[in-house]
Amino acid sequence: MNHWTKYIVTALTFGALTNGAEAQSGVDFFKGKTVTYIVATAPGGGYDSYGRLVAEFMQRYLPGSTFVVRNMPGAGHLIGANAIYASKPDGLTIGTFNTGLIYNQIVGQEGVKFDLTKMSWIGKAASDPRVFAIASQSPIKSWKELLDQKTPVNFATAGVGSASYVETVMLTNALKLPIKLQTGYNGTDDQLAMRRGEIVGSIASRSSYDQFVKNGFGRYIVQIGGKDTDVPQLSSLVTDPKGQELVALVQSQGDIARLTAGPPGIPADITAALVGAYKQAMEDKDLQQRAEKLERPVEPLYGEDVLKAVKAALNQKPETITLLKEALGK
Amino acid sequence: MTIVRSPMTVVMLLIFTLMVGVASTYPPDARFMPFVVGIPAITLCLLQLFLDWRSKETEISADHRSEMEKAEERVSKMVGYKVDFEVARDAPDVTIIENSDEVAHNREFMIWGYVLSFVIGILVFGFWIAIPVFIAVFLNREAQYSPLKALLYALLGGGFMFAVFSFGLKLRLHPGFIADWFF
Amino acid sequence: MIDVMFGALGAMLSNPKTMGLMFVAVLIGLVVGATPGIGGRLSIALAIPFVFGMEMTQGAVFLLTMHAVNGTSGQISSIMFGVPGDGDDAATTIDGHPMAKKGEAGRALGASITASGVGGIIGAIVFAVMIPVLEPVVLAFSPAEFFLLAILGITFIAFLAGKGQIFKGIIVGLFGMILATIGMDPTSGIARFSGNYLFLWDGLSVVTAVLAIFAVPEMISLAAKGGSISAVSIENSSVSYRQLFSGVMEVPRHWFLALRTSIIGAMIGMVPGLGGSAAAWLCYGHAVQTSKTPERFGHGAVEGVIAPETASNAKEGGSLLPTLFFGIPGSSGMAVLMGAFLILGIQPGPAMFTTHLDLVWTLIWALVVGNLIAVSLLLFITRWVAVLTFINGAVLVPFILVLVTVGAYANEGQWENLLILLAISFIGWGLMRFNWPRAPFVIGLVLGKIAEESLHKALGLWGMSFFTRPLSLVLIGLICATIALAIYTNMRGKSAMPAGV
Repeated sequence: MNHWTKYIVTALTFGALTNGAEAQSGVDFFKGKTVTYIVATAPGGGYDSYGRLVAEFMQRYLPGSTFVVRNMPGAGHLIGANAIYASKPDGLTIGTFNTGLIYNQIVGQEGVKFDLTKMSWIGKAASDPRVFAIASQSPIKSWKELLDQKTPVNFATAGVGSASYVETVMLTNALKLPIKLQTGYNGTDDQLAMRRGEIVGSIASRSSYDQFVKNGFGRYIVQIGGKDTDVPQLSSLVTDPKGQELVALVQSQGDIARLTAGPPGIPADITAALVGAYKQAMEDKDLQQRAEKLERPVEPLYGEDVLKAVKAALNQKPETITLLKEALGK
Repeated sequence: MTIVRSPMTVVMLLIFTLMVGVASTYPPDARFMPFVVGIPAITLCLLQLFLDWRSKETEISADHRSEMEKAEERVSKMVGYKVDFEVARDAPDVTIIENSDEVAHNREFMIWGYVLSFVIGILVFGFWIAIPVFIAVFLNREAQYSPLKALLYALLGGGFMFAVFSFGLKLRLHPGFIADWFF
Repeated sequence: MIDVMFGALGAMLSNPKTMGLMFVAVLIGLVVGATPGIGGRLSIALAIPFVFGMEMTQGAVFLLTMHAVNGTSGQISSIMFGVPGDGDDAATTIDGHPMAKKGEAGRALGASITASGVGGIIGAIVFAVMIPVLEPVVLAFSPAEFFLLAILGITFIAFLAGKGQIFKGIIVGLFGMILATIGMDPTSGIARFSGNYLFLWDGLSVVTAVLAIFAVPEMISLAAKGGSISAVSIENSSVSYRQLFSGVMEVPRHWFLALRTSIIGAMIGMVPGLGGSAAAWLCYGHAVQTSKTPERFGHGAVEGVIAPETASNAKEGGSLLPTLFFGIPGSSGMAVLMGAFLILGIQPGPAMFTTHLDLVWTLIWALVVGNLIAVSLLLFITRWVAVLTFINGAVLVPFILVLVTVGAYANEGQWENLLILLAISFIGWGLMRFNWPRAPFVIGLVLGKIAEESLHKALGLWGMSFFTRPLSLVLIGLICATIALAIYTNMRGKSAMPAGV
């Protein structure tokens, strides 16, 4: 080889080696380091169990690292999300919180100290579509029968301002549903109320109702998002364009479930390492098995794809924002 | 003496008035319960203040002296002349010295000082520093432990708790604000 | 039915691995439960990864035992140091700690531990008996009844104030209730009294409040006064198995009370929605109300220890029922447990009681046997642990204060709770110094929240006519009777507690 070729070959080889080394350095960074995985709820319960699962498996795929779960409950996941957002962007703090915080950000609620579009997105693990669940004693068996109700039927939601309340109010108003809201039903209060006959239905996440429906206590009449085929999709039943937009917003909620994110500004190679480990964790058969036992099968999305979905959800027309604000009483 | 009985009533009255006042800025739904609870409470506080003022009860003449003074009196009666006890503080078998009520009430302010310092210490320096320091200082000054003994107990206690809470339960205890300020 | 019942018991007892796991679970549950503020949810959440690999029955037995026993060990610090672990334990503290101050720690602990055991067992029996009639009973309680039950509990405040102190007692009770309004109001979405302080949005932490009102003032008083917790010296009392045994025998002596409070506790546990501490306090109030000598309460009446302990343990057995039968957890601890059950492959629902009845019975027996093991262990170590009440207070106080601050912090992981601890301790100290009653505070705090939420729901569902539901009318009758009784006893001169409790 002549002088120039040697030079070029050396340069190229050197370039290739350092590129590889950079990718490698992302993973190497975690050797001997402790990563704090923040869960925005108290121990036990869906977010916590899923979070611990993700943390355990990500640790396996970042050799030398130690993942420690830290519970930061309070204010409807706001405290945990704020903490994740405010933490040092060195890649050593990430965590999970309720996707419903999208609503809080759109509306500009006080207490929100984060911007979801700026966070470093690692991925999301599952889909948790919303469903309209109806008590088994009620005669309502389909979407059409619900629309045909002459007097408003009682639907249960959590406290005013919660994601469940917001979704129910928005959908009721936009789709002109014959629904009367009963607020203050937290956790599984609504299921018991349905058994008692006080409440006819509820708009909730499918994972929280599957057991209830399996036991024959209720049925689904319509679903928003998700891949299950046993229930019709609301998007196919709604013709009004404003209504469809709203349904799309609610669907984005269900699509981006069990997310993992970090504060804004984590260096690209470290984020890449985290996303890589997350991907490997999601593809691990062990984790998939456990996730199914927990509630929902794994339906992952990684890094940039999640950011895109989040941005789309946050980018709402002014009318929708007004609807949201009304729903939140602002 | 009636003034002595009132401070708590006044404090309670102030708290309720403050909370009802803040609640009145809330919309009807939100201020319902605070009103339902707070307004009767204010009424009762005022009634109680009235009762306190009218009360002619003299203090129940309970014996507020310490055990040692009571024992002195008993023995003095038995032997016929005044007896004065003096007990070595760290005599092995001696049961612990108790203070009279009046001394105790004044000491409580000092103990508050300990508590406040401890909590501030936790907030600034974190649990794992504040705990041994607090135990050591308290044991040394209040239980009359020698500095070495106090420190030993402090480290043992702190170490044991660290093992249980940090290792066992994997609980993260507040690391103190200096962790944020300097690291 | 009988063969399934005892078949399940036999299978459990004869399996060394199951028994081994149960023993470990009891140990972990007791240790975690002994510290104030650290909840059972944490231990179950930590155990879940291990549970993934376990065989269904063994995993369920392990978790259930750990959960059931968790509430039992909190009474040790409540009685000995006046440091309650949570709202439940506060009820035990009211009479348990004065007993310790009289040098009767051993007796108090003997009674309370035995009461726990008995309560747990009766709770399991109630569970078994109620299986056929569960549904109608649980479904009969709606928000209307919850509201009235909460009001009933609140009226007990009137009983807990001392002679001539009824105003002060009610004021303190109302104080608890107004503090319960702090936080995000579910009716309006307004964050009351908490503005931008996110850590208050979920309300005041009951554990922090309870520690602040009871534990901190007691410790300050102890450190200032000098001496030991027990005013009686160790020679004059008897810390021996004899004293312990006399405590144990108190439970059979008050067998009717223990039976009643266990059943009430189990029933309250069975109906999801009334909340954890309600059982202990309602039964404590019941004990005061039905006693012929209510003035002893607050001074070291052993019934004041037996009633809440039986109730809070029986409640565990009771709350398992809706969890298994409806798949609707009876308490927040049960919610976590249920998640773990699902992982193990147990599908809660009515089908469980037909196809998996043996598993149901295994769980009932696990509660019974687990309780027995826990009780035996605790009774065994009490002999040594009770001695602490005779040690120089100046040595104990710093360690206890450390536990109190750790508990207040660890409960929610917020350092701001330490400031709340200080603020409420200050008020608690004031109450103690000026001889105001403190017990009504916890009742107001715990039941006030339930009352408001239930009232709102009831009005939303039925409007003002919710009073006319049959069960509601019964409860209204009870409330009126209770108030009448309170006025009667107060006017007659006898009243429940002397000043300063």
